[in-house]
Amino acid sequence: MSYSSLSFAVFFLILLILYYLVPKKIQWCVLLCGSIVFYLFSGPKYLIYVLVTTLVTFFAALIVYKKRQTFSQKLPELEEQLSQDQLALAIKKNNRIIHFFMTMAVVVDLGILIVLKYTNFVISNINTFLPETSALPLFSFVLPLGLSFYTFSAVGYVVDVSREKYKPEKNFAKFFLYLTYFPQIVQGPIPSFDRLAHQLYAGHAFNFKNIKYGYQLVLWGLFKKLVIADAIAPLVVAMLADVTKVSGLEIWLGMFIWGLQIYADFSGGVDVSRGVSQMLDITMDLNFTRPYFALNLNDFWNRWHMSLGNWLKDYFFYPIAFSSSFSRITKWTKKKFGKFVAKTVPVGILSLFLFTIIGIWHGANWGETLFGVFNGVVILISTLIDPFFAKQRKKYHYDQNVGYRIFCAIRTFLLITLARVFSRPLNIVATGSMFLSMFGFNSGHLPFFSFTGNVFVPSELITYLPALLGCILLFFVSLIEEKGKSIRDIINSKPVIIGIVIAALGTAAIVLFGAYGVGYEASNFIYQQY
Amino acid sequence: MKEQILEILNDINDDVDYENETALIDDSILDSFDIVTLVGELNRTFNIKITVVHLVPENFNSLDAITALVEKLKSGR
Repeated sequence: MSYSSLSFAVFFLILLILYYLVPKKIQWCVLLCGSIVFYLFSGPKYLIYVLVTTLVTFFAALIVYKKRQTFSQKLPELEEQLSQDQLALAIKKNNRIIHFFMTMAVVVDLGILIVLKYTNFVISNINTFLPETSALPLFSFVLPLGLSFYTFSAVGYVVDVSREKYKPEKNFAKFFLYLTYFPQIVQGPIPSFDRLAHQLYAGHAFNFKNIKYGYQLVLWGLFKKLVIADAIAPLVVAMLADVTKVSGLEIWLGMFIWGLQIYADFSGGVDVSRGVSQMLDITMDLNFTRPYFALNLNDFWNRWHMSLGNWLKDYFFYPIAFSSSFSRITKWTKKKFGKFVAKTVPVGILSLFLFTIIGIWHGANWGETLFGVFNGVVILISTLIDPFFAKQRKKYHYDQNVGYRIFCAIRTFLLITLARVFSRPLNIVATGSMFLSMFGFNSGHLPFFSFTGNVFVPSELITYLPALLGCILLFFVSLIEEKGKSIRDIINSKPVIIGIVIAALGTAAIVLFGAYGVGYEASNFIYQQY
Repeated sequence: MKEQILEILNDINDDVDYENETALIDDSILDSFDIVTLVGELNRTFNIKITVVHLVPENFNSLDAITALVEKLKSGR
């Protein structure tokens, strides 16, 4: 059931009415039933995977908490009975038990994800070394809805409980709701238990402002998805279907438009999720803050799919970077190579691993892996050369200059566009050819500045006019929000009639210009099978 | 203690007015590379263990906040 389908609208309307009709104490049950129904629409058999993850995580977290609590209660007694050494040993032993249960849950949760998502990738790599006759068969796994989103939130939960960040949830049904909450299960953002769960379980009074703001956000999300992303999708397909038959300039244009499509699709989907949630008086985390205004790639990843970046920092990057082994490596590097190398190289290599994971998360293939590595390498190089530019910035004070900031944003957009070449479903030769064409080095190919005419058919260009106007609107709305203003606050501060007119125009634009057609089926969101 | 922390911070980046700055994290003055170096140095110098749980902006936004965190961890609270 896609968020942009009519069936979802009917489903949500019924849920919304029930949610505000039932007593506040059982509102969470409405959300739970709704989430189960929503999940069942993706295929009843996939419920088993999320159930296993929920069971393992739920009980592991309870055991971890119980072990720590029991030990804390016994501690004063142990302090009296045991020597310092014996006490230290007892603490160590208890921590080891806690660590075992936490690790077991993490291994099972991530294990399911890795097996389902990466088995075929591993097999196909092994097969490249085997003769065709003895090639290993591939599995036909279909990924459960929101697999990586609920897995990552489950892992974060059990690790946080073991870190004593919060207490575990004791009600299994409530915990199941946390992992399967229908607005976040499709494409995140990856929730954090301490920010989301208490909102799901609390009672909420009807508030018209939430309905109004939420509906406006849903409209904006659908506008981005249907009027922009889905409408320009055929153009991207036409421009990049056969990169040997188009010019370098057309490849750049195709890649720019693809970048817009991915952003409008993913951020539009998250806007719908957040809007729907707001109507239920539940605030979900932001996942995008105008990534194409980023001044460098590091900044870009702080603005794009923020919940994934934050998750990887909290459960991968910082735990390793703060460990005593890592600290020893840094100390050794400082002694051997000096302060600057110690500060940049070990962390830089760790950050390279982080971006490799981001790449692999995007897809189980070498292209996506290289996409991550490319980002990591560019960030590592820019960190290494930054001290030189920092001196220039300090000397000439140009870093606040508007022209310089525009230059930086364009440079970042070009870099992420180049990185995404690896994400195209191509073989290594085609990817290489694409890079060469983009830099005008593809000898024997079309001249860089040429239009083949197969892509831009003048008579068809008019069909893309609503999407183009939509992109212009998206740019100006982003510009206003980049200045720290809320576009919805601005609209709602005007007379009511203005809000009604904008909502009516938005709805009309989605119905008239959305990528519907004969036999239309709401297309899936790009990120929903991650 | 505050002077020692100031020295560590200046060693990481001496362009910042740490005595008056109150948004070291919120304004991205310290990036993830700086944070890793800072935490490593604080752990080593004061024999404490700063973990991911302590990694919230409120603990690292200013020199005073960092000093308070170190004091808290040193006293075992």
